[in-house]
Amino acid sequence: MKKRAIVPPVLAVIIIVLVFLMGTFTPLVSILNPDTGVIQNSRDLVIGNETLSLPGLTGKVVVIQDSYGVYHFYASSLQSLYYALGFVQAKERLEQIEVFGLEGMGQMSNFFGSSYYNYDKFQTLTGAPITAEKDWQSVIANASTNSTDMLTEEALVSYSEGINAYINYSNENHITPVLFKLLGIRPYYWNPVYSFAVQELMTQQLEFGTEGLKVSIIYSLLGNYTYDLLPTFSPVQNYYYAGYSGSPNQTVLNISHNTYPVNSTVLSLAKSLLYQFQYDPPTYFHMQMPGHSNEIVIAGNRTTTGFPILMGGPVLGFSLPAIWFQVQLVAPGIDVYGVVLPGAPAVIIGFNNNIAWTLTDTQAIADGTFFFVQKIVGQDYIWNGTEHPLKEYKINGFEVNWTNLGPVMVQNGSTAIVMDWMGNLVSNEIGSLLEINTASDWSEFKNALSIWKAPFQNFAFANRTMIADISPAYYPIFSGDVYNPAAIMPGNGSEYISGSIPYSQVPQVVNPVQGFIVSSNQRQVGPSYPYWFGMTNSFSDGYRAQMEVNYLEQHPIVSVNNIINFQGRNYTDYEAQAAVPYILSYISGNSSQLISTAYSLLSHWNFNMTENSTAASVWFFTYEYLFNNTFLPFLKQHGWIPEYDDTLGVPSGMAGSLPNTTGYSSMEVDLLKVILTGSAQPFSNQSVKYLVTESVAEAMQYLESKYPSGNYSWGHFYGFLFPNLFGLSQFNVGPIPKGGDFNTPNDASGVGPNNYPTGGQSWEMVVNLSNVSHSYGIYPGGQSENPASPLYSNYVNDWINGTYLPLLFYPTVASFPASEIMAVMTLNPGGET
Amino acid sequence: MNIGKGTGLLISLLVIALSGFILLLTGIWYTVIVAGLIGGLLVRKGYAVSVLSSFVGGLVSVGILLLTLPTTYLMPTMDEVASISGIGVTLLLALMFIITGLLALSGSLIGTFFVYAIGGGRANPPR
Repeated sequence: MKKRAIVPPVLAVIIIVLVFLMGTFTPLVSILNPDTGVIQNSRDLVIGNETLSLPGLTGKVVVIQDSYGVYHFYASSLQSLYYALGFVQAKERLEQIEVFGLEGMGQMSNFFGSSYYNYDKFQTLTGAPITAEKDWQSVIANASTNSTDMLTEEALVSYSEGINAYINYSNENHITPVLFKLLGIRPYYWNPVYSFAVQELMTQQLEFGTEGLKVSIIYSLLGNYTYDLLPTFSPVQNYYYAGYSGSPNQTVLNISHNTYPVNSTVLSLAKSLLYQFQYDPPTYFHMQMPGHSNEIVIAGNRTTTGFPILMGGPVLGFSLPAIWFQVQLVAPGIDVYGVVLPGAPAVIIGFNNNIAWTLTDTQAIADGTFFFVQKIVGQDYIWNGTEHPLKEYKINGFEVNWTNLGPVMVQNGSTAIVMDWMGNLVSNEIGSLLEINTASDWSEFKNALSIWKAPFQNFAFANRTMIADISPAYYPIFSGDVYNPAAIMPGNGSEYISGSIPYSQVPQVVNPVQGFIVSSNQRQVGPSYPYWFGMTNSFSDGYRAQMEVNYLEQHPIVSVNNIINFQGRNYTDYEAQAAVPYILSYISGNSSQLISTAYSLLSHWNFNMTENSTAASVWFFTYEYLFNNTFLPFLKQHGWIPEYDDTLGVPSGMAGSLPNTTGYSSMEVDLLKVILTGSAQPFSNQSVKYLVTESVAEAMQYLESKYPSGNYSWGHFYGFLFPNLFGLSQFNVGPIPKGGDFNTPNDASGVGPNNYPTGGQSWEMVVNLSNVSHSYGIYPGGQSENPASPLYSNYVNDWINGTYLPLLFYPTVASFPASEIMAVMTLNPGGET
Repeated sequence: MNIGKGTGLLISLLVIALSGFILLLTGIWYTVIVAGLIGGLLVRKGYAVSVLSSFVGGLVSVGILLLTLPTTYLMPTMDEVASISGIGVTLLLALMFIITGLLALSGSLIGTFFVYAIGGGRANPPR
């Protein structure tokens, strides 16, 4: 054989080895494999009728995808209903579900590598993964005797089986979502603990914070000025949905004005812990945007239909895919419509044949997160002078120590800060929501909520004859020394949580005489409420709620369309309405050209933050400069700025609307008070006239420098950005200009070009109780998480335009009009397990 | 059967394309090597025919597989992958075709070598 004859086989071997090496060191071979790689995922995007046999499914389920993309499940049993929901939700949102589970459990590094080590460590430290496990164990233990736990077990097990069935199905058919293929990882199997981890995650988004740490630091800097800067009761709020608007309760006021003085060691620990909180949430998966939600319910005697109307608009961080998944769930004993979260099978906000409900975050009561200084000696903590052993948990590769109050968050020698977070109470809010899904009246609804502990939420309710609202939660009652619970407290046993506000005493109202209820994040109860209920610092100034109240008072009869337009397209800024007349009086007659221009614009303004309004820009930036001029010198003088820029943050107006700043709602109410009363004491010795004039001049100079010749309409600064959940900026949508600001119904904080809002009304719903089939809603996103799908972001433009889509609500498959069906999926029991 | 070079090329190409397509369905990309091997062993028309038919046959096998996929969503899906991976759609598709062609080619080279070295056939038949 000639030597050159071996060249071809050697060449062949070289080719094979090269391809093999490429497959070993890069994901190219696996993702480009024509039969199993990414191109196969195009099959999964086809929308059409299909029939599948699924192992573990106990009964047939027909799933109709309506012409808007919403899924309607018609099942023969509850098990098959939740199984099918898990399967279909995973089909559309498996990446999102899996990431939410990992995020809640503090296991992000499993997918995304060591860059998430700090997040996982912090999340584990908070106790969320431990509590998720405890929640599920409690459900299992009580399922035989407690009907809610039994329902929860049945739903979560079936739902998990459905998700896992899809994982197997997608693996067998080579349509595992692209992200998994590119990362070279396989989806993990779901179990109910992950569902409770998602519940924990949502509680963290809504009721978890650092106010206690910040107030202690602020108190160390400002002393009793703290109570001027962060008043307990708002000097300008006057609508409390649950009443108690009388004189301030002196006992409550004394509690707030009795901040525990901490030493430099504790302050240093508090600062260190504030740094750690920056790991939550992980920057890659932005969700945090509470404090702007809307909740209105109107009695039948004030509507054109003669029956109540319920409006919901929960504000959360935007993402694509959106946090919500829109469904109708039908099985014997249940017919409910609304939105569910990734990883949890209960409709959170929605309606059934009898009732409708929606949620908003409450005025937050120190974020439901309370901090104590506790002494730790070796492996023991001290409580009432006695040593008790720390409880040690080993989870996710981390060790976490708990005292009787909660996890030890940070420690220096024998001094530790321990966190008592209400999210760590063992509870079953998923079960509560599952019960609500089938509730038929106020009694059942209220009873289902009696076990609700956290997050602190307002639940608006309506049926055909009544309206109501309730804010159920475990609101702690503090006993003993009773230092301000909104700051760090002594953890030696001298102050302790002795119980919670009785359920009969939590904020609530039924059929109020004015014929409507607004609970849009404002404080629910007035100053005479007999229990300590937080300070104005957390977290809504109440202006948006007041604007909504004003609208309803001025419109004695409203229609469904009125309410849709109100939430989607009303841009009235209540604070501007209250403040601008005073601002005009302060700058009236000023000879400066810029200030004269501002005067002219503001005096002809209707207080609407519309895209084409230049006066809106003048108002906004005047407000921001006035905020800065009033507070920042004061904060500098007391050592807040710049020493605590990175922990307390640099405050700015409208919830930190300027880039790299932080919102303090207390300062919003302080500032309006300054404008209305004409006194800036104790924050500034300058006259308000001087402060306002300077601020208007600075605002006009800024606007003219950015957009000369008066071309500074509000649309240049305000619009919404919808970021891809996985940080893939090429799949972001926006920013898209839209009217509004922090104070308007469709709202968010932030301004462009560097700080566009990435959150807002995450699900806008108006339920018509005269006939719930004639209800409307929209969320900014789409049902699919796949950017290649036509259903990835198809609702965004409608949302921007304030267009709500019909919420199709048919009780049976047979009653569903063919013209409103996009596709039908029939799921049959069968197949191999 | 004594067939011409052109006919041999065509037969080899068809054999490799069809067997390649079937083997691709196993999900194991490397099995396309077997398709090339079959072509190389069955059609004994030398290295030129072997190389050409196996490489093109490999490309065609992928092409057939792509035809089984919904065309509406193929490019959006590839756009998505390209955006995430930072590799252009054209390059991604080209790599998919080229790797398949090369794998078939390597099998064919081995097959033809066996024909020449072990089977007693001619690697380069007389003109």
